[in-house]
Amino acid sequence: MVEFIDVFKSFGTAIVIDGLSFKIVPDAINQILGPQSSGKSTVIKLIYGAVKPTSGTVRVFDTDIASLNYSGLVLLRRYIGIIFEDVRLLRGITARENITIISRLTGKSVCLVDEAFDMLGITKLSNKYPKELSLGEQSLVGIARSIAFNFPLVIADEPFRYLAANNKKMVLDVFRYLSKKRKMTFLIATQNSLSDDFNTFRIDNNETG
Amino acid sequence: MKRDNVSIALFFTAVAFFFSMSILMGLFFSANDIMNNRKSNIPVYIFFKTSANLNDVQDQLLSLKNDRHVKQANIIDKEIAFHKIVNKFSIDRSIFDYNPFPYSIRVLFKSKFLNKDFLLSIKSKLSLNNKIDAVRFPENILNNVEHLHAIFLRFSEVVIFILYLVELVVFISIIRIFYSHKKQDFDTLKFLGVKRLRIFGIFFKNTVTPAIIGIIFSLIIIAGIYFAYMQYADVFQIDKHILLSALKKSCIINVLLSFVFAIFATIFIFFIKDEKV
Repeated sequence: MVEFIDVFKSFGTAIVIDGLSFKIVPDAINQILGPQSSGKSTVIKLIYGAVKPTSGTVRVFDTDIASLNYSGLVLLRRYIGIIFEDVRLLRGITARENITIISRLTGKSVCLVDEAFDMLGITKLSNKYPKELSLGEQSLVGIARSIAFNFPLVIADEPFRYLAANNKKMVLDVFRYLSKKRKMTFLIATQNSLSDDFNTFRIDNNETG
Repeated sequence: MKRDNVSIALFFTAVAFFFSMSILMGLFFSANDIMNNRKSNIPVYIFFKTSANLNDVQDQLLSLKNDRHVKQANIIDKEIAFHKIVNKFSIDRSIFDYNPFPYSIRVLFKSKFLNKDFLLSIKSKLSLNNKIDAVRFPENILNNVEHLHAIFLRFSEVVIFILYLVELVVFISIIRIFYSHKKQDFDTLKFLGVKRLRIFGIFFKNTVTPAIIGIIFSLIIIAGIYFAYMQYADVFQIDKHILLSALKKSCIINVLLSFVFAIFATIFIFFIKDEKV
């Protein structure tokens, strides 16, 4: 589903990823562990094509990202749920509209917004605007956006950064449920291991494990 | 969707420019029409030889009336002319054995054709008629009016050009701010699989809608001001038809230009600022 083959990425003279190779396990929760500035966010961005590898191959759904033109890349993104490190809710529209607008603009017929809000316990936030929400609440809405469309793959960049411990546990339980019942695959970039049960890749010192 | 500050700024920019430009251009058009009217009221006199009879004069009058350049033409009867002069200067009519006045025609030309060269060409053309003695028009007055009109046109063109340039620059600047303000949202949409064309549609709607609302709002205000002015405050005594026609022309031009500016600025900014992320 996601495979990195000897991926190298540098920004100018700074080498961020040096020969990274790994393959995630489908229908399961995978985690990429690494300290700050180890390139975890770059790995996530490489998957959805916001960043291009300097060399090597990034394969998503058996497609080499580098072989896609921009339209192809945009279409591929329609099958990936993304949880951004900086949340990225659209301003000026409500929490619920943040999800339904994607359905409207991309023509997705499946939009389980109520179910996602219910699972995450944020139904009461659905008509609030992002600026009326705390960072933790915004994070939960961002997570709801990534699971409301039943994407086969969800990638998350530090999704628990702004969440309290109880919410973090609840979200992990939701991920486990979706992985088990709906065969969704998760790839979470995080500094500390979330669970020993998850398939783990380490990019500390540019080594995977 | 909540309306943000940049949309409100766009609305007020559209209102400010549309309103001020429509009023200003309305006044310029009115002044232009008034000057054209002045010009077209400059008479040209065609004096016939004493040998010419009324039939000759009427033939010439008919030919003039069929000319597309002519606004109005009428015969000055030599008896009436004689009578007027005698009365004006209190002259004893009995001292004249005969009427010394010739027949003449007073012609007013349409303002758009009226200039010195045109009148000189008419003069030389009419001089070919052997029944016509002379063609006269107040050359100095025409020169003065033409000069004043030319200065006014140049001044109004420069003022309008500068103001439209400022309008375009302001539109582009505000739409640029608007794009920068929304860039993160647009990039997020791209990451979530929304095509750039759809994003352009959202951007276009967000920039052109406040401009349209601003234009409609300004049109209503201008119509209100026009009717209030005509009803209660007609201080400049400008002809109602001239003012209405000038405002109509000005509003139509400004509706079109405001649309063109808003659309051009939107496309231009999206083209130079939007990235394939």
